Amino acid sequence: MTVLHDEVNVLVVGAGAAGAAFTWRLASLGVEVTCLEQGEWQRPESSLTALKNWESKRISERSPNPNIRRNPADYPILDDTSIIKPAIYNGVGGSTILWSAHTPRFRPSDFRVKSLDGVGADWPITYWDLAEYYEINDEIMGTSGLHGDPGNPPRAPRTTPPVPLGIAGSRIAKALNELKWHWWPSDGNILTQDRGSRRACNGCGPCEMGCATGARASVDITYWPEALALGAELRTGATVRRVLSDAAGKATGVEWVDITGQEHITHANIVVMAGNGIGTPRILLNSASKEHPRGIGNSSDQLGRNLMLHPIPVVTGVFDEDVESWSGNDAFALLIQEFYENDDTRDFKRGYEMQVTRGQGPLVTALGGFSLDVPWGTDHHDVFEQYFGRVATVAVTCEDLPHPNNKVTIDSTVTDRFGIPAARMWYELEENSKRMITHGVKSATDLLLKAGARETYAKPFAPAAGFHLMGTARMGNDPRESFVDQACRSHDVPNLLVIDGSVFASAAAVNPTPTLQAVALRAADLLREDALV
Amino acid sequence: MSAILERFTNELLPGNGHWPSASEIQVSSTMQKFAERDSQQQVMLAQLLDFLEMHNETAAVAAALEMKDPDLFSFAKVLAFEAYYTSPKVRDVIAQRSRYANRPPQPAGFQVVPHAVTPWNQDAILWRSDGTERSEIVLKMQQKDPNKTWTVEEIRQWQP
Ligand SMILES: Cc1cc2nc3c(=O)[nH]c(=O)nc-3n(C[C@H](O)[C@H](O)[C@H](O)COP(=O)(O)OP(=O)(O)OC[C@H]3O[C@@H](n4cnc5c(N)ncnc54)[C@H](O)[C@@H]3O)c2cc1C
Repeated sequence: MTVLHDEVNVLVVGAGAAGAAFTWRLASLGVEVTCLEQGEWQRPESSLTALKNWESKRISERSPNPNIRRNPADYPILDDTSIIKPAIYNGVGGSTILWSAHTPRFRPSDFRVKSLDGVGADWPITYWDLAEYYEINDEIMGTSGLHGDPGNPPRAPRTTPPVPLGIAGSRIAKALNELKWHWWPSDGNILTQDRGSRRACNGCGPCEMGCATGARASVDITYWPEALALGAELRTGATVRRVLSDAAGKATGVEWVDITGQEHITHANIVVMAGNGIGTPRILLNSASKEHPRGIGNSSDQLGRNLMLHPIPVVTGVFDEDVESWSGNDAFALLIQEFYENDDTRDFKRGYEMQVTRGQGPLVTALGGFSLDVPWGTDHHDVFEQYFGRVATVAVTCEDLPHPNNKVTIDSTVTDRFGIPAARMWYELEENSKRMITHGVKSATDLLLKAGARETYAKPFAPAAGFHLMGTARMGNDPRESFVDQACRSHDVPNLLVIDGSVFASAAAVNPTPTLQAVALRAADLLREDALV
Repeated sequence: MSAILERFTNELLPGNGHWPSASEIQVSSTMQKFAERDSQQQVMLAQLLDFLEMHNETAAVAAALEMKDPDLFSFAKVLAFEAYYTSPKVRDVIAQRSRYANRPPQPAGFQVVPHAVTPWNQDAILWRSDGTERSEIVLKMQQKDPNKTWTVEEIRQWQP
C-alpha cells in the first residue's frame, strides 16, 4: 500500500488534557501545531445520563476500563500483572471525557520529596514554576471552589462558588470541625453558575458518564474550541504507531494509520507525546530503532518504569436516614489534608488526602458501590434498602512512591486493530503504601463514625481506580535517572517532548490533572522562549 | 433453557413482599437480550447456560457456580443485576421506598443541600515550605493576611 506523506511544524500525539492545553498555548503564541488523536469527537448528545437505561451504559460503553468498554479507538492494556486496573478514555478530550474533575493542586513540598523526606525523586522544577500556569488552566477549564484554603499557597479567586456539600457532606464537615482536622470545600472544574454556553451543574450525579450541561469541564469543550479558533489543526481517527528517527537519533515525525487502514507518515520538526502515562510509553517503546534499541530516547532505561497510580482505599459509611447520596456530582464535595505532609512519628513516609464522595445510582449500589458488600439471595433486598441513598464514601488518595518494577511495557502477543502491540501494566503495592493505607482507613473510619455513620465498610484499595497515570517518562536533571529534562524534552532526543503525567517525578497525594496541564502549558512557553518553534 | 436461567436468577434476586422476584420481571430474557450487544458476552452467557444445564439437579446452583467459577458467576451476577435494576418496575419500587425519583439524572438533575458549614481552620496555614526562598516569602505573606485576594498578575511574580 502507498504510504501518504505530509509535513507539519509541531506534531502532538493525543488530544486529552495535556495535549489540548499544550496545543492551545502554542497556537495562542502563533505557532503552527497539529494534533493526531486516535479517537473521535464526543458529541454533546452522546451524554447518556438522560436515557432510561443510563446505568446500563455506565457499566458498558462508558466503563472507564478500556478492556471492558472495547470501543474502536481503545487499545488493549494487559492488566493481569497489576492489582489496579486501567481507567482511561480515548477520544477528543481524552480521559477528561470520563473524569470527575476534582482539581486540587500539588503542594510545594511535593516537588522536593527526596530533599525534604529522603524518598522518591525530586522534580527539577518547583511549585513556583507552575503557579502561574495553574491559574491559566483554572481560568480556561472553569474552576469552582472557595477562596482561602490555608492548606495550600494562595490562589486567585475561583470562577464560581464551590459545589454544594450535600446532606452527608455537611455532616462530615461538622465532624471535621469537631475533630479539628483540616478540610476545605474542594476545587473542581465543575461550574456552579452558568458561563457562556456551559450551564451550571444541576447535581445529576454521574459525572463520569460525560456531562450533559457542560458544567463539568472536559477539554473538548474548553481548550479545543479555542485552539481550533486560533488555527491549530486536530486530526481524529489518527492512530500513531511509532515515532520515527534519523541516523543521528533525532525525531523526524510519526508513522500513523487512519480509520480506513491507510498508512501515513507525517514529518515534523518537533514531536510531542501526550498519550497519557500508559499510551505515551507504549508508543515510545514501540519506536525502537538501531539508534534507540530500547525505545526512542530510552538510554536511561527509565521509559515505562516508576508507574505511580495512587492506591485509593475507600471507606463507606452507612447512615440511618436517607442522605440522598445519589444527588450531587458524585466524586467530591470536600477534601481533607490533615495527614498530607510527611510526619516522622508515623510508620510511613509522606502522606495522603481524603476526598469525600457521594453515593451511586441503584444498579451500581446493588453491585457494591465503592466498598459495600451487598449479598445476593434472600438478604439482598433488605441490605440494598439499608444502603441505597444512605451512604457517603471517603476516598483516601495515598502518595505512591516510584518503583522501577511498577511499570508499563509492551506485549506484542496482543495487538490493537492496527497491529500495534498492547500495553502491559505491572503494579504492586509497596510496604510504605500498605502502612499508609492502614492509617488512612482508620482515619476515614473514625471520621465517618464521628459524622454519625451507623457502620462502615472499607476496601484497602479500589482495584478499578487506575486513572492517575504518572511517572513512566519522568522528569529530572540526571539523564541516567530520568527521561525528560525540566522543559519536558527528552535527554537523548531534544526535539521529542513528553508533556503528560508520564513526566511526574513524584505522585503527590492529589489528583494529577491540573498539575499535568500546568506542566504542558509551561512546556509550550519554553519551546517558544527557546526559539525552537 | 429459559427455565434453568430463571431458576438461577431467582436464587440471586428472590423478591419479597415489596420487591419483585427476578422471574416476575423476566430478568432471564432481558439478560439474553443484553448479551446480544457483545460477542464476548454471548460466549459467556452460553457458558453459563451450559453450567446451569449440567447442574440442573443441584439445589443451590448459584452458590455452586460462585464456588466453581467465580469469574463466570461474577459475569452472570452483573448481567442479572443490570437487567433487574434497569427494569421500570424495580425503579418504581425504589421510588416508592426512598426519596429517589424514577427518572434518569438528566435533564432535571437533583437538588443538592447547599454549602452551609464553615471550615474551622480558616487562618491556620498548614502547607510546608519546600525550602526555597519563594516558599518562605509566600508563607509569610499568607500568614500576615490569610484573607487577601490574590490576582493572577501577583502570582505570576512568583516565577523563579
Ligand atoms: C473515571 C475517571 C475519573 C477521573 N477523575 C479525575 C479527577 O477527579 N481529577 C483528576 O485530576 N483526574 C481525574 N482523572 C484522570 C484524568 O482524566 C487524567 O489525569 C487526564 O485526562 C490525563 O491527561 P492526558 O492528556 O495525559 O491523557 P488523556 O486525557 O488520557 O488523553 C490521552 C489521549 O491520547 C490519545 N492517544 C493515546 N495513544 C495514542 C496513539 N497511539 N495515537 C493517537 N492518539 C493516542 C488517546 O486516545 C487519548 O485521547 C480521572 C480519569 C477517569 C478515567
